[in-house]
Amino acid sequence: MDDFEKYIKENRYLFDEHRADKSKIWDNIESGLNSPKPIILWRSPVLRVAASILILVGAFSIINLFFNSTFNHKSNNNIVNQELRDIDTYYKDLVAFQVQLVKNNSKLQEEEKEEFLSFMDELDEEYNSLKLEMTKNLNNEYILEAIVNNYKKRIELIENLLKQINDSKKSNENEGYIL
Amino acid sequence: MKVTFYRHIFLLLLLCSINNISAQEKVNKKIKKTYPLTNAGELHLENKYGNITIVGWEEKTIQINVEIQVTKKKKEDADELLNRIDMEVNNTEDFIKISSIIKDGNNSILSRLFDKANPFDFDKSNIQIDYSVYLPSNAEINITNKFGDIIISSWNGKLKANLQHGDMWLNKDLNNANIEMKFGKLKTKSITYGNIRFKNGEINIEKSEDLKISSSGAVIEIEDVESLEVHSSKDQITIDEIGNIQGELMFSNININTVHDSIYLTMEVADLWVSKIEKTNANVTINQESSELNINISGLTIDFEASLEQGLLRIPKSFTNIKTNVIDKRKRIRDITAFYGNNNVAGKFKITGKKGAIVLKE
Repeated sequence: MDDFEKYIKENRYLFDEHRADKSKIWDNIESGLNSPKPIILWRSPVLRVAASILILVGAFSIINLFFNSTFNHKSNNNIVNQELRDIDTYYKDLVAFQVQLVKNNSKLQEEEKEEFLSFMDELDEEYNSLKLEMTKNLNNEYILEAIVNNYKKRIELIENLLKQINDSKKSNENEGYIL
Repeated sequence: MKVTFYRHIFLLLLLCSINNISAQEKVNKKIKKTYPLTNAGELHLENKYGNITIVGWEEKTIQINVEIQVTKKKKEDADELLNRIDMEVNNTEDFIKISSIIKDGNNSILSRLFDKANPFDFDKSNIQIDYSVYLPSNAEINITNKFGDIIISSWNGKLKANLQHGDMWLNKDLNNANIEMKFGKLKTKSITYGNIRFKNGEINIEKSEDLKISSSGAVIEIEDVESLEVHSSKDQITIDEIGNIQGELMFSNININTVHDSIYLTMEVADLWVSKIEKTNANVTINQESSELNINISGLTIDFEASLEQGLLRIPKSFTNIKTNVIDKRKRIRDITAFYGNNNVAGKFKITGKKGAIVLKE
């Protein structure tokens, strides 16, 4: 290698002064090419129908998958929840009304009212355990029936008490001494 | 052309939708097992969501037939749940314990997260686990069941049962029964010695010698009982024939047709109605508050004694030697003594308490 060649190699970076304009090069290449015509698939009616069906089936499958994994749970959940809500709405007011009748009754003392109504706490506890059992989702028909019975029992017991204290047996059929 | 195209699409969608509205899938399995067991043996059985039928037989074995049925929307889910239900049996010599096991499913983190987010995560499933058990007719039984009935026939060993949300039928006379029930009906023939703890339901007993009932919110009907200890709250009790009765009644109502011997009761806001007392010198002791008593004393000979505050006492004019000692006029506290009847030997008839209405009639 002579000195000139050696000098060039060592100072090669000094020659990187000019850079090629790539976009200009590509423009020139593109103008020299024959541009192909675009193929329009949608013009074919068979393919159009097939594609529509494919999209619909695909979309439906995704929706179906979503429904099965989440919405079905939610909708069934909603059905059972709705049933429970209906039961609660229907009976809660009835029970509250009956409880008020006991609270307003003048023939019972306050301690007696409190003592009597303590059964409501027990039935509340039972109600909560039934709701908890419901989350296991093993046979909610039994549970909903038990919840209805829970409410009915509250009403029945209050009605029995009111009947008992209002339906006095101090009849006059037995003439005798009153002491 | 356009209309036909959309019609086809609609039909296609409809067809796909049918998949979603499919009917409930029902799957089931049956298990049958036999083990040696004698009349001295004992069976413990725990179940949920199903009926238990017990039948006594003369064999020295116990045969257990279980039928498990699962209904779910999708067959694979039904199969998966069915596979999680099993019967666990532990047996040693003359002792057998059977439990229905429902293993937890879906233990993945995702499903657990989902469960937490949706506490009512349902694909409405229905499971039913029914047992038919044949065992020696005197072997002991200890059954626990929830959401299902218990039917026992042709068997008369010692019974211990705990049943919630189900009914129980005992179709043969039992010598010894210890029953705890909540929300259900109990119908029995004869229980010689019975201990019943009952909440919110109905009890119907034909006959018993010695019965202890602790109950609340129950409708109780007893045809004939020799001795009854009752701890009752908010019950409606009807008894046709009773030897003697003792216990407490609170907010309860008891109606007795015939008492043969004695009455010892503590009552609070309760009603007692007795149509007839058979023994002429019967002993009656009642401590009551705000209660109503209506007792027919025809044919009795009694030394009557009452210690009352307020309230009302009505006695027939045929009472003799009536003495009233007013202790506090303002509070209407008074002691009353009297005599009734024609026999030489008189029974003690004592009523104490506050308020209420006591009516003794002929």
